[in-house]
Parts: sequence; structure tokens; C-alpha cells
Amino acid sequence: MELSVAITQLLNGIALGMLLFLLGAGLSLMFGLMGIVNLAHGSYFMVGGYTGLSVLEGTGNFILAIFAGAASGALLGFLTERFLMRRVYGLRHHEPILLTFALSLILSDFSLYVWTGIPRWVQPPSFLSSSIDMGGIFYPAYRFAIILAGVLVFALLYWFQEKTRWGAIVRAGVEDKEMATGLGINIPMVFTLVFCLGAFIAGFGGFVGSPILGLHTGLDFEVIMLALAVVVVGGIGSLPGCLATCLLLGLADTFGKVFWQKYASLTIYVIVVIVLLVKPAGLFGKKS
Amino acid sequence: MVIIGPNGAGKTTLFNIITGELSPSGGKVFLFSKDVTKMQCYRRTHYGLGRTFQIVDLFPNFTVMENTCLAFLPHETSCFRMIRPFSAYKKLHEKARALLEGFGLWEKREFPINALSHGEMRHVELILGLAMEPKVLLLDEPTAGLTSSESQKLASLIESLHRDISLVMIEHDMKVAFSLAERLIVLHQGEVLADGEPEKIRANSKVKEVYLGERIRV
Amino acid sequence: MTSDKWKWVFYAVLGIVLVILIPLSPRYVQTLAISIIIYSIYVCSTNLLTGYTGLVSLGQAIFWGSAAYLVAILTTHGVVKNFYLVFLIAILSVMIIGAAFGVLALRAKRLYFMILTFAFGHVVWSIAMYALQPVTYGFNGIRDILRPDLGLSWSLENNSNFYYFTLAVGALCFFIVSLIIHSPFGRILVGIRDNEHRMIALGCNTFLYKFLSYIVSAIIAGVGGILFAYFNGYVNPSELHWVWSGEALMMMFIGGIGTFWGPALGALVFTGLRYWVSAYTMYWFGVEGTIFVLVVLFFRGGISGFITDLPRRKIPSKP
Repeated sequence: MELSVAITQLLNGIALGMLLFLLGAGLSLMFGLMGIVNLAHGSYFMVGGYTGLSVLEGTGNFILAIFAGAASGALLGFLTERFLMRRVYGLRHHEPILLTFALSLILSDFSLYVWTGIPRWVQPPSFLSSSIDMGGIFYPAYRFAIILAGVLVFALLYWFQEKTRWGAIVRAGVEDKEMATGLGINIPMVFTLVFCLGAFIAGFGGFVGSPILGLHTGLDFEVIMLALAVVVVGGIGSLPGCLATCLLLGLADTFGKVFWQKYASLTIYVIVVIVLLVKPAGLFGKKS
Repeated sequence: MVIIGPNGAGKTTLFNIITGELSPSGGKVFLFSKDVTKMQCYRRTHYGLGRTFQIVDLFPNFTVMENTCLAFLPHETSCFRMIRPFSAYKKLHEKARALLEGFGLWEKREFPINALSHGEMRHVELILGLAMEPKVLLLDEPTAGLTSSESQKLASLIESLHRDISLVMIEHDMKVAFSLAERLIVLHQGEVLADGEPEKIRANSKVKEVYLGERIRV
Repeated sequence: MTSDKWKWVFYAVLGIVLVILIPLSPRYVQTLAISIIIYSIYVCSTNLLTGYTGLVSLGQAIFWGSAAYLVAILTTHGVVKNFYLVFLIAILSVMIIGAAFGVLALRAKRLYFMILTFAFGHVVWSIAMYALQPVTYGFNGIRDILRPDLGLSWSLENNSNFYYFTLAVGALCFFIVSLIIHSPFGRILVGIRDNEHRMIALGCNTFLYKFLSYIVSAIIAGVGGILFAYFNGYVNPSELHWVWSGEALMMMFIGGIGTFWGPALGALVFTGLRYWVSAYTMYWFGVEGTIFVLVVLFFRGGISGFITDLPRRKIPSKP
């Protein structure tokens, strides 16, 4: 493979990895804290993307659209947690999962109704629509921006988790719920916060990623599988581990498409199966 | 044999290693001269090992009778049979009846397990351990959470158990421990501090030292 | 009347409806009834695995879809025409896939098991959609599957006859599941569901039981898939998609998880609603999701639970 192709694909893989991170970080947090597999997480991603698209079409302001997308995600996360999840905590573990599955069906048809199923592609904003010259290799500025965005989100999350009081509270909740409650921490509020935060990032990712992934019916069902792959391969409890996993999967998928096209979509799942069998806690998982 | 020791001494951990729920970092476990260290948890029971748990661990959706019958199943060779209905296995039901009558719970056999008092649940816990027809039975704090009269009742039931079963018991209730023990082992921080007859242990100064500051239920 | 007498009344009514009334009804009712019975076989398999053994799987569609695709591929490509041979091959294949996936997935804890079945399901779906496209025609699916020839003078081209055929197969499946549930094996499955830790402590090789349960439910799902392929005449990748696995769980839940008649009730409600709602709107997913949310939040026992006045117990109630 030529060097320029290799570098381009490498950057593509990293960009995809960043999108996976935006998708998977929230789910990982929810899973780690509440043991809930939120099958509607892909829906937050997609609806965030669509909402941003509508705002973009209405106002022409890309930045505003980003916020709208992220906010819609957060709103959905809030509604999910407050009105659905809260009623089924502590029940057998399959009820929350089935509830989120049902929710994903509702949101899927909701999106179909509002935005129709026609594939849409968001155009990158004008200030990012050019390519950057890296000594002969031209790479789209937008994808660079995505990589930067991913790094920024990671940094913010890391700072939040490690350096702030709220972060410490969430961490305590993830480590030992009962103890945290015993110490007077308002666990229900923490749960809501985590849900909103995770969905916020997903919505953000949905819109920011739409120039690359597109928006169409069924996107939600496609990306939830990717998000689950991230959670399972990376394990829970480590944010840097999550990022590393996402980069790994992004690169694997990108190079998979280059080398074995027919089975390309399977690359990630083969990794999932292998990791789950060899190291069930995930590559970077802290809880076994 | 009764094992006592302050909290964190490793008593339940010891049981977990014996039954196979935990792997030892060193050393071996022998059951009737057979090295079972690498043997899977469920297989050890087929060599005569039985256990009850410190926190009552029953089947919440079954009645008392159903709990008891279920406990007999894994040792019946016919449990892969998918054709004959369970109700037709008369011998098994009779064994269950005998056990329940011995514990005075036959009248309550149709009660859902949650309807029992804590004391009665501890009896069922013991019944499940006995249903395995073990040769060695590990009892992990069988009187935990019971009032002193309930403890006495359970202690005398344990005492009347068939002489063919070797009983190894973890206890916090000193009265029960000293009254039932033929041999007493004191664990402290993962090591055996003392081992011998109850009277000798009672007089042991090291044991007294370790228990100073611990609230002893007597 | 004693509860026993009510049981006989119920059976009599059920018998009359199934054997006499439906064959006399208009065509669309018969078609609907066939669908309901086939789906209830599928949900029955899910109920055995999830309701009675406690393993939530998002991969049951693998077995339904694989069996359906095998029927489609073997018959339309002219490889095998004999119904009995096709049936045998499909079931054996499903057993092998079930054994392979089961051995791998059951080593994991409950939640990871579910995710693994999800991943396996996606792998199989991808293979059917893309890798085996020359044979499966990808998202177009396979059409023109002919009705099976049983080698008797009785033709299954006729929907009425196919209805009796389906009814017989369905009754057989439910009867077999009934035997399993009431046997010691079934009792142990429920024990594993409710307290696996204790079952192990009592000397039970829980892995083996879970494995057997997984295989049996794979076979039953496969039977459903086979019937579906022959009845529908057309299979496409959505029969392998995890959403279809999820819908099986939903049907089971609506009917009443861990109950004997749950699968049938769930399939009845689901299919009936889908038929009715689809006449008015294309947004069936939305309606389906909403109904399910309501059932999970407010009718956790499903229809069976609603009907039974007793405090809800998840042990098998004698039908």
C-alpha cells in the first residue's frame, strides 16, 4: 500500500474511532453505573443528527446546529431516565433492556415520521470544507476537526471525571452504589446526570458525524451495535481505555474495508467475539 | 468442628476455597483423600461435600416443599429426563417429606418461601444442605440473625443430626460454638491461631487477646 | 365450578375454535391464524430460554432465520426437493449453529451473554446480507418458495390444509415444551433461573443445563422458521435481524414471561395488532414500541399474569 493511502486510511480510522468514542462513551458510562444496556442509545445519536440538520437548514448556523443536536440528545436522555428507567431499576435485568429496545422502535418511527427515511448528508460548514495539505497528501479539514472534537470531548470528560467533585461523585457511584448512597449522595440525580451526559455526547456525535456517516432510517440500529461493541471490547471503568478501544475498532474497521471488502462489516464483530471469549471484562475493564 | 475468629479472619473465604467458589493461591484441598483443588464447584458435592450459606440463599419463587425437592434433583441420575413429570417421582417426594417433618415444617410446605420467618428460613437453608446427603457439611453461621432462643433450637437440631455427617461450622455465637464443638479452630487474619478442645481454647490467652475489643455474643 | 372444570371448559373452547371455527372462517382469518401459530412456536422457544431458564438472548432470530433461509436456498436452487430431507438438514444445521454459539456464549455472565448473542446475530445477518449474496440475493431476499410435498395425497398448496398442518406441528411443539417444563429437567432450569449460585452449590452442572436449553430452544425456533419459509413463500434478511429477536422477547413478555400460554397469547396479540394497525398507518414500530413500554411499566405479568388472580408465581402452572 502506498504511503499516502496508508496515512489517509490511518487518519480515517482515527476519525471513525473518534466518532465511535462519541457514541460509546455515554453507553459505557451508563452500563458501568447502572448495568443497563441502553438499546436506544443509537437513537439518541441519530435523532441528534437529524435535529441538528433541521436547525442547520433553518438557521444556516453550523455551531448552533451542533448545540441543538447535542441538546436534543440530552433531552431524550433525560426523558428516558426520568420516565422510563426510573421505574424499572432493581427489577430483573432484562426489563430495562426491553424498555430501551421498545424506545428505540418508537424513536425510529418518530424519526421516519419527522424526517422521512430519505438518506441525508450534512454539508460541512464552509470554513471546514477544504482540504489541508500535509506535504503532498490532502486530507479533508472536517475530518481533522472531528478528530480534534473527539480529543476535546475526551479531555473534558476526563477532567470532569477526575478533577471535579461531580466527577468524583459519579465515580463513587460507579464503584460502589450502596456505599455512595450511604454517604448521602443523591444517586437518582447522579443517574439522571449520567444519562443526560451520555445522550448529550451521542447527540453531538450524531450531528458532527453526519457528513461522514450520513443520516438515514436504520442508522440507529446500525450504530447501537457499534456502541455495544465499544463497551464490550473496551470494558468499563476506564475512560482512556474506552478511547483506546474506539481507536482500535475504528482502525480495524477502516483497514478491514481496504483489505477484505466482502467481510469488512464483520471485522469489528469478530474482534468483539474474540475479546469476549479471551478477556470477558474487556481489554481495559476494571470490573470483572 | 467449629471455626471461630474475628471478622475478616477468612472463615467464609476458607469455606469458599473448600467448595471451589474461590481458587487458592497456594496449597491443596483434599476431600476424603481425593485432591479436589482443581475440581469444579458442582462436582465436589458428588464426593460428599455440602454447604449452607451465611446469607440465606433459597429459591424465591418456590414453596418450601418445592425448594426441598429441588435440592434433591442434582444428585438424582434421572434429572436429564424430560418426559416423565416431576410429580411422578414418589421416592424423591418422600425423602423431602421426611426432612421437612424432621424440622417441623411439613405443615408449612405449601407456603411460598418468603412467607416464612427468618428462623424458619434458616431451617430451610439447613434442609437444603442436608438434602444433598453429604458426608461433610459446611455450615456458615447457621444461627446468624436469630434470637437466642431460636439459636438454641437450631443448635439442638444440629446436634441431633445423623452421626454419619461430619459437621464443620463457622460461628459467631460463642454459646452455640462452645456447646456444639468437639474441636475448635480459631482463625485470625488468615492463619490458625489455636486448635483444640473447647476447654483448652477457652483458657488460651492468645485467643482472649484477639477477641479483646470484639463484642462477643455469649 | 372447580378450577379443574374451568380447565376443561377452556380446552373445549380452544379445541372448537382451532379445529372447527377457524377452518370455516374467511381466508384472511385462516392466514392470520397460521401466522399466529408459527410465531407462537418462535416465541415458545424464546420463552423456554428466557422465561424458564432466565437467559435473555438477542439471537433467537439466528435460528429462525437460518432454518428459513436453508429451506429457501435448498428448494429454490433445486438442491434438495424432498420436504423431509430439507427439514432434517435445516434442523441439524440449527443444532450445530446452536451448539457452536452456545458453547461460546454461555461461558459469559448473563448480560455479556446477551451482548454476545447480539454480536453473533449480527455476524450471521451480515453473512446472509453480503458475504453469501450470490446465494441469498442480499436484501432482496429469496422468493417463490413452494409449499412442501408431504408425499401424501393431501396437498399443502391449499391454505386450509396448511392450517391443519401448522396446527399439528404447533400442538406438537407446545406438547413437547410442556413435557420439558414439568419434568425434573425443567424444574432444574427454573432453579437455575432463580438462583444459579445455589444450584451449583447443590451439585448441578448448570452450564450443561443451560446449553441443552439453548439447543432445544434453537431447534424449536428453527421449526418455526421452516414453517414460515414454506408459508410465506419469501424470506429476507429481516428474519435474521436482532430486532426480530427483540420482538420475540416482546411477544413473550406481552403474553406473560415464564408461563405456558404466554407465547401463544403474545403472538396472538402482536400479530393481530400488527395486522389491524398496519391497515391505518405505516408506523407500526412506533405503535409496537409504545404498547410494549406500557406493558413493561404497568402489566409486568403480561396477559397471563393479568388473567391469573393468584399472587404471580413464575413456576410453571399446569395447563
